[in-house]
Amino acid sequence: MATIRAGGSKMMNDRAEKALRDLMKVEENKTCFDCLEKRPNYIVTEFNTFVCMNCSGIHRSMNRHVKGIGMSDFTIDEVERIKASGNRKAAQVWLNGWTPQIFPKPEAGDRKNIIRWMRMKFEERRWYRAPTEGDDDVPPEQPAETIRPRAGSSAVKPISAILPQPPPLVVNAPPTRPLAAPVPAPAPAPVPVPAPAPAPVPEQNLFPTAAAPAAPAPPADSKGQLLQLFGNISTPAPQPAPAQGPSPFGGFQGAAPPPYPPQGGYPPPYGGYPPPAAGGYPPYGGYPPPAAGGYPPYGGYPPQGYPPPAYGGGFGGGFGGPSPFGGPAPAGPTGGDPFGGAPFGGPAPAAPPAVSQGHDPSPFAFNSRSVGPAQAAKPAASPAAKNDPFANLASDAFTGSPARPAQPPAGSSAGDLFGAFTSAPAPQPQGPPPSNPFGAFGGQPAGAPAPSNNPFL
Amino acid sequence: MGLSIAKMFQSLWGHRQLRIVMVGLDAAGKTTILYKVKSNENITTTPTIGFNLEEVDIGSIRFTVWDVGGQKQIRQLWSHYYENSNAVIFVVDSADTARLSCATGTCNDCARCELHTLMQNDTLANATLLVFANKQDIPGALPPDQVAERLKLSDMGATRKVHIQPCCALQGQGLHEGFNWLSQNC
Repeated sequence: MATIRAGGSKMMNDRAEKALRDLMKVEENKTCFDCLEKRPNYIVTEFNTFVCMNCSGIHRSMNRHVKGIGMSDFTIDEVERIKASGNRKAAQVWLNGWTPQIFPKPEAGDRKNIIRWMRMKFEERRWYRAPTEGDDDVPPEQPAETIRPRAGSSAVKPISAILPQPPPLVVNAPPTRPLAAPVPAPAPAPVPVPAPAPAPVPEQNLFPTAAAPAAPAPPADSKGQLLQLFGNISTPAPQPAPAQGPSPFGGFQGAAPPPYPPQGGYPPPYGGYPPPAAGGYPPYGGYPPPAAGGYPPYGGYPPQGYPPPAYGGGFGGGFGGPSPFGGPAPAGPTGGDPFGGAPFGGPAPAAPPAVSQGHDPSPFAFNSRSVGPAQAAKPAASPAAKNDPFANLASDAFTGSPARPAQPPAGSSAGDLFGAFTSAPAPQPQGPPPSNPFGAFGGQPAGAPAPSNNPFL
Repeated sequence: MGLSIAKMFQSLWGHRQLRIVMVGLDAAGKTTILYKVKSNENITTTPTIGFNLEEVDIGSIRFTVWDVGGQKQIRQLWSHYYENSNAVIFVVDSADTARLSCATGTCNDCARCELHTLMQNDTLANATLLVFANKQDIPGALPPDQVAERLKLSDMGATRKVHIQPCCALQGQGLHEGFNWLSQNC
């Protein structure tokens, strides 16, 4: 029953997914933004970049939200943002002035360097340039930071240090000529939906990083040149720029698109339980992501096919609805303590208040933090909370703190501040160690409690 | 009666087995929790496609934990794992407030909607529910009481045993407490 989903949104998702799969075929989106992995199929929603699965995992560990193409639902807004951004635009923002000489793009799976590189890019912002005029759309989710034109002076230094070095530049000598052309060319007015531009010219090296090394040619005003270059690269760039062939990434750019469906192996319908193989580890437990469907064969990469007209029109009309995410969710943390009077509070009152004392010495780290009872209820605000994220837990949640007399029930709930939650009628009262279900872990015979109402008895 | 005797014996000599299905939205921390309790190590996970299965011995209980991928499109597979489950562990990212609950209650893409949908499944009629309010270490994470309210845990039905446990999977805080609660309430 949980499988039933609204039909309408299903259709919407199909179209969004189709659009994303088309975007995946755009040259610059064929390589993970954070490593050299091919065929990335995850989106970092904060940056609207295409990243591979491993990098998506790293992003998750850095508290960024990622969405898998074919795995998550995308709203029309998100698709539009991705369309307007993608790896190329993101590179203009996050890799402005970066060259492979400064820090080569990590190999796929080189977790250590990937993490380093991500930190340099997104946290230190070494090559960050706030999106401005040249770029059409700024992903709205960009933190509207004040422009830090390569704030980290350390970032500037390596560039200038590198610029004079001629040897590596030889590789890019040819590009200088074609690149000269774009410079004078006026950057066309920003088009709201810029996506179409890059796709049609598959040969062109749109990857800005590749262009960067070329810049050193005129070391004098390198910054201006760089900006110019980036600005222009975003344009349709009339010339096919065949001369740019020998880019540092030439290798993979030119590579024939691999036959797409490495994942095609999802065995179809999942019948019954997979054998509880002891290992169980392989995440590919062998069942199909249902709606993901087969990845469309990659073969015919149609240079022109990029913004399918049908999509644009269809989306405009069909969607328009508010993002399902957009809900005013955050509205609600009600100030009051929901525990106290809340429905949960009901069953608990019986237990002795002494519990909270019994709770404190618990080995549980949350509790052992003796947070001043007067700790403010506002977790985020108080400095203590900042240092110790669990502080507020300890004071508010775990040990019904004395500071909050208003809510006796919280402290009482059979020692477990959440005991109040434990809505099961019977089990609480008889709770053998009324003090703390957390408490001495294993200290009590596990099977013993035998709650009389246990449905499994 | 027979069962309770068996249970008594088990408690004396053997492992009691509990089958647990662990679900939750993507990036809630399910896999991290699983391997933290299993081997006390922090692994950098990738989004789970499919599931991870581990047996975890805690106290005298052997938990068979099915950690099922939580990305939107594969949530519909959750129901295949429900059968014979003694308990559901629902993991939420306490800091991801935007996806804790939705305005309408019908979005099918927030933690509350998913939780209530899954708990309505008949197969889980007798299952205990443990909610891990994960990522308590992140600044801005909601405290468990607010998470409970956002999830509307109070609407879980009068007979359902429900418990919310704040935790931080990376540091391991709260995890054993949660499993311990399960061992006493399943």
